[in-house]
Amino acid sequence: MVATYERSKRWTFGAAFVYATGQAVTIPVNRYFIEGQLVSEYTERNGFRMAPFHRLDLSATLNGHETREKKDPVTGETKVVPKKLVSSWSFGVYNAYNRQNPYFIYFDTNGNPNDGSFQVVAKQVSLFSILPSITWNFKF
Amino acid sequence: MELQVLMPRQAIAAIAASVLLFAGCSKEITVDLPAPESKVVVEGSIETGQPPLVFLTRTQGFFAPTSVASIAGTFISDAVVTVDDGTSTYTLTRICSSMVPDSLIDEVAAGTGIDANLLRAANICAWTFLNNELLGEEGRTYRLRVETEGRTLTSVTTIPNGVALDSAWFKLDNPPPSTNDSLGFLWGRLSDPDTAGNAYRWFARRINAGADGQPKDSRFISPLFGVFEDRYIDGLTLDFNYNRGNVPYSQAEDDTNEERGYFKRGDTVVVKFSSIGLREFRFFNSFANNATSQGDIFGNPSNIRSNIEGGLGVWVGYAPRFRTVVCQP
Repeated sequence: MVATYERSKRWTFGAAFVYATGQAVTIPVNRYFIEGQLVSEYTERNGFRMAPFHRLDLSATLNGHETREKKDPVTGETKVVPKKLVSSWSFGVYNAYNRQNPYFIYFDTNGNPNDGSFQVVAKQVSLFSILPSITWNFKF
Repeated sequence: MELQVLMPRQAIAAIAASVLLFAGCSKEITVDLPAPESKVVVEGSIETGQPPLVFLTRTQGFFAPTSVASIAGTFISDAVVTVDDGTSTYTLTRICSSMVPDSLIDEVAAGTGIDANLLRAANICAWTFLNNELLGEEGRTYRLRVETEGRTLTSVTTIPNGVALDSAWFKLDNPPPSTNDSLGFLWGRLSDPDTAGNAYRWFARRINAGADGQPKDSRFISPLFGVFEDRYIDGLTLDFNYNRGNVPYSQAEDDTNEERGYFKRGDTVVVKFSSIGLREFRFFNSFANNATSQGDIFGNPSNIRSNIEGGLGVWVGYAPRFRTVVCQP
């Protein structure tokens, strides 16, 4: 979902919201031991859905002037002429509310089941947290 | 130093903070797992000239408590286990750790491979047949039936005809003159019979004394992926090697230092090279895949291919052939 708002000729604001159902993955649901070695029983293929993905991106664009005034050296008149170089500045924030979207999840095991030091944890890896950006665009 | 000259300390701190703030990250999460019912797991075997031996456990939820008591609670001690050899049906006898005096627990642990702490924490039972009426015979098929917790599990296995290695030897990993290494692997030469469908499982046991005066290995150990089949080597003669396996979660010194996975010059090793069936090969191969995927972000989430109807685990017939190797290159 995308929204833009032209505040003036110079300022434009934008927002984009992205939402996607979480990816389907195959994860362990049960554990057991074979010859003393821990093994896992998994869900059916793609039997578990990760948390949904969503983020909000914001942007503000400051457009530069497209024309300039030029004084005719002969007549002394001032004319408005197009600029040879037109530029704009864009200020953006990717993932504005710093959502930690799941990229993948994995299950880590540590320790020895025979002495009580055994631990099982689920971990989620996320890629991009809040990410500001500044861009200078120009055309000539 | 040059960096500090070029960039003020504040700038370095700002860059470091930005990297930490904007980089991807990993965090612990709580996963609301589906809760499938617990299943019964069979670890049963019968080998040439030996009685059957069956252990029964049940699966636990992946995030179930991980204390010794919780894990000990997975062992099943109440079941009726029978084996049919095609002629008669034998009801196996239950033997439990609670019947074993504490002074013998360490010996039982060494013989069964079950940790001594677990044996003391729980009443761990095995089912076997004590007189010599039911001993494994090559070429014979054995049907297993387990009745426990209101469920019936069945399986069938055949002890194949055994195939002996032509030879076995020790070879240094880095032979002289490049190094003065003393560590190496065991090699074997196999002439696979000219019949497709043979499969094998490799075990080894170091019988020379360790620092404590006892044999270095208390039982035969098969390394992970210590199984192979003859799909691509049918009827061929080939040389192959294996690393030294270790007891899972072993804290022994030579399983935690640079000797891990290696046999050592001076070791005396008995190789138990066992023929097994194809379904049993698929079990152990998928077991190794599953075991090595634990905690691995690139792991392969695939279930173990069991030959037990109504449960998990394996019922396997072994036809072993033994060979002793003195590790001298």
